[in-house]
Amino acid sequence: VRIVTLAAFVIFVCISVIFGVSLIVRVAMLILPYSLTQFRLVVEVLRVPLAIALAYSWLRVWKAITDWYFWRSVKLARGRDEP
Amino acid sequence: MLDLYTGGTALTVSVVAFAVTYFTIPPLSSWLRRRGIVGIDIHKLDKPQIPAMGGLSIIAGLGAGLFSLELLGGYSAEIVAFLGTVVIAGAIGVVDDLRPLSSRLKPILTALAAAPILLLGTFNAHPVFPLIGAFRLTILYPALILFAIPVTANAVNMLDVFNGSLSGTLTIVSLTLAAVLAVSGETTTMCLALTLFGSLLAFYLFNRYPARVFGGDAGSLAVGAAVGALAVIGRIELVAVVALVPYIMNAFYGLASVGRLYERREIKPRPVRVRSDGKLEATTERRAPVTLTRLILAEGPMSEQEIVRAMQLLTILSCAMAVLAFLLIEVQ
Repeated sequence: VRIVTLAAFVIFVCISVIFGVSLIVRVAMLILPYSLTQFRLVVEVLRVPLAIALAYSWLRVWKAITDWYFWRSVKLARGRDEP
Repeated sequence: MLDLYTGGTALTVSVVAFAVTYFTIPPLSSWLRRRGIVGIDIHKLDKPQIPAMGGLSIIAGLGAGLFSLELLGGYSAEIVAFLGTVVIAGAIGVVDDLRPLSSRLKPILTALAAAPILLLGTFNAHPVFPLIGAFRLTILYPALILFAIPVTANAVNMLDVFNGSLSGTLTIVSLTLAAVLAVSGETTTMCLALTLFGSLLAFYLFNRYPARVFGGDAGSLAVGAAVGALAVIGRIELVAVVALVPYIMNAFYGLASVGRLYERREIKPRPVRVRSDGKLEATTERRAPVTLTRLILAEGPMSEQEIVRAMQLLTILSCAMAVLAFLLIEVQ
């Protein structure tokens, strides 16, 4: 029962990995469409750091959620153990 | 569907790999103990010394299984590339077991294990993703292989912390990958996955709680590189990544907490500690990495077997999601 939350984490990460690539590609295309400039190559090159930035932001969110869960759980467990 | 000959070959290679691993572990363990190549089981109260580097038996089992695959199925570049990757990663693991490598040097050296795949060209530079289809990465893909093999090898190495944690979870992963490869028609790579499954299953019988042998870095790096090689050779990159999510979570949490590449032995503030009743609990040390084990223990202490069981359940879940990912790609 205790690993239900972790199971939810695993599903969240799996779904993020499965759909993350297409989502990042679509968002990058939306922010930097080809119509932005006549130089198609410039747009494609700019999309790479943008995609990396999007992936990095997602990792930061993931880490923040994990830290919040861990320290909250530890605090609750310690509170439960103390008389 | 598989024909009878392919099915028989797959069964034979997995049985050969199982048998060779199973029967080489006892003499290897005795030899390792005599030579003083042992590791301390730090999660037990009495801190027993266990023969390390038992992963050499996994490599021997894989070698025998792949040799029988060559005999039954004929020469295949995939088999040579897979074996080359495993042997190189295993050799780096042996060096690391005997004379610990730095946290920066180890990933660089494990990148060498990707060389057989690159040299034999056993990859397809068009990985497939759900909703967007195949991606053409002609130039970038070989560079990604150089990155992928060390990542899987070291991610697997980082979760080899409890009795049966590596062998018990990767047995599930290798069987899932074999099933996916069977459905996708990649029969040679399916046999490679089943060889890995056979070796790991035999090793698990000796490595599960209470462990009689440790795989050491020789085992964990070889097996991790083998999973990475299966993903690349079998064109199931995304499926393998999803199946390895518990490993990726553990590696990412560790790296993000410490802020750099690290070796477990370098980290002084320990993430978990053994209580007087033999159970393990998460420490409240802020500087210790938030690993997967620490997350499992966040809500209270557990025994080592319970932690490994939790890891196995999470791996079953990630493997189910990996099958879902495969179906999404297939439907597309």
